[in-house]
Parts: sequence; structure tokens; C-alpha cells
Amino acid sequence: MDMTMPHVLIENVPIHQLEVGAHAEMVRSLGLEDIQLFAAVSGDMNPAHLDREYAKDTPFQGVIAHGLWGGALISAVLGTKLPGPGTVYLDQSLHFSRPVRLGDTVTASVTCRAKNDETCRATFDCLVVNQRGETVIRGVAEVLVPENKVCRPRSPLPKVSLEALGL
Amino acid sequence: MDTCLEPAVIENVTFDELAVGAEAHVRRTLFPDDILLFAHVSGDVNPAHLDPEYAAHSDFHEIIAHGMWGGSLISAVLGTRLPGPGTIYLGQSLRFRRPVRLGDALTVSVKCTSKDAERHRATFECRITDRLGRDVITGEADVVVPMTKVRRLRPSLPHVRLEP
Repeated sequence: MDMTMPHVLIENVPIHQLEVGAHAEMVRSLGLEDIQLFAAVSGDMNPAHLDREYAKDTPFQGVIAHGLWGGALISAVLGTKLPGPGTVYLDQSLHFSRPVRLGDTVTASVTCRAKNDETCRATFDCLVVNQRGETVIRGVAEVLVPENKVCRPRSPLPKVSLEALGL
Repeated sequence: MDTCLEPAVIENVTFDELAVGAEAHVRRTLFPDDILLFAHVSGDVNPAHLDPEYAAHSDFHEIIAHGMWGGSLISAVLGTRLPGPGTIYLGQSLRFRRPVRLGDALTVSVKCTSKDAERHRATFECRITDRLGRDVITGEADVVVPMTKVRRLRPSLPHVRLEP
């Protein structure tokens, strides 16, 4: 798994600092573990994601990521980078254009399209592209942006181990 | 983790079998491991989900689930129950109405609201409610419904261990 932990601190961009056009992104590569973990945590045991033999005869000719994994990456950018901690998710639309395959490296990004200082609401254009620059997911997020600065040490995550599934 | 007993076989509902009004649901309770695993797999280490001390002073007063975890439960119903294997996800809207707290027991349901016979597409109303029947997430999904029957052994659930 590709758990990049570039910063020790996690920090937000409060409403008064948020600028229309502000942009943040996160890069992730899809490994088999990501698919298996996503299946475990969502309960989505669709064979398109877990059954190699089945998946090779599908239109995608191989196992693909859960679509919502890409959605989760978008939400990770909103929740950890822009606006970051304190953000309240109101609404998210997702349009799935292309599958993500094992080994693909995707960039999930959000760009502030509009904000309202009085209501503390902001709209973000959301995009996930693959290593060839092809759009995988596009969407729009509506959030409540925090009013106060948050700067905290990142919580450590436990180690995760998966038992072999014979995939 | 809470995985209700699942049938050993996973089977889809083909476009011809799918009726407008058809419904499917799963039940799921939020446990601490769900939050930790979702943080791992998404990279979302927002302290609202992971840091009890921070969360105590947040609007929600305690740790809450990632909103997209709820989204992933909806996608699980679409991908495994209705229409099930072979479904191609085109779009999903999600309106987050209420946070999910540890121990909350959710019902995740999808209901077919329209079919497009030319393009084999269908629209589903999606809803997650809590134990009291209050809306947690509502939304709509657009999918391509499979034309051919799929009936396969359910893949075994990965065994996940968390080590502090």
C-alpha cells in the first residue's frame, strides 16, 4: 500500500484564508491490498474487484478498484488538505468515467470554485485522473469550511495485515 | 467488524429482471476498526475520525465515520445485491445529512426508480438511515444494468488484522 505520510502535522485552511482557485491533491497507486481492504471495510464483495477469473471476461478485462475508492480519495483531500480538519461534508456528486486498474497511479484533486464567507460554505470541483492524464472521476463537493485554524499532530494508524486470499 | 451473514452465492438481477420499485438493503454497524481501515485505504487521516481528544471539541463532540464510508456501503448494495455483479457505475450523488457515530446501526437501501431500455441504464434512490429511521445519507445512483446473468461463489472476505 501507498501510505504517504509527508507531514507530521495536519492543518486546515479556514474560510477567511480560503481563496477561489485554491487547489490541493493527493497521489495514490492502486495495489491489490487497497482493493481487498476496501472490500472488507465496505462489504462490497463484487467479483469485479475480487475474482480474477470472473474479471478477465468482463468489459474491463481484469479486476478494477471499487468506484467509491476514488471517491474516498477525493474526500481524503477535502478532509486532510483543503479545507482540511473541521470541514463538514454536505454533498458530493461523482461521475465515473473510467475504471482504475491494478498498478494505476491516480491523482485526486480539489479546486475551490466558489465560497461564501457568511454561510462558510464552499464548492469544490473534484477530479481523479490516471497516470495517462485520463479522467477517472469528476464531481462537485459542497462543504462547510471551518472558521478556526486547526493544526494538530497526525494520529498514527495501526499496521494492517491481510491474510492471503489466493487472488 | 460487522458482516451480516451473506449468502454463499452472489447473483445479479439482469436488466430484464429488474423492476422499477425493486429494493435491496444491508445492515451494518460502525465499529472502531471500520474507521481505522477506511483511514488506511483512503489516506483520510482527518482527526475528526481518528483523534478522540480533537473530536471531543468538534461540532460532533466525538469521533465520527468518514462520510464516504457510508457512500461505500451504498455502492456495496449496488455491486452485490441490486443489480449486483456486472453493474457499471456511472454516477452517484450523496447528501450527508447526519454523522455516523461508533455503534450506530445503519440500514443501507437502494430502490430502482427508472429504467432506460435503450441504453440498459437504471436510476436508484439510495438511502442510509439510523436505528431511529433518521436519514444519514440520501442520494441517487446511475448505473448500466447487466444484460446477462451472473451467478458465482461469493469471494471470501479478506481477513484483516490491525496491529497498534
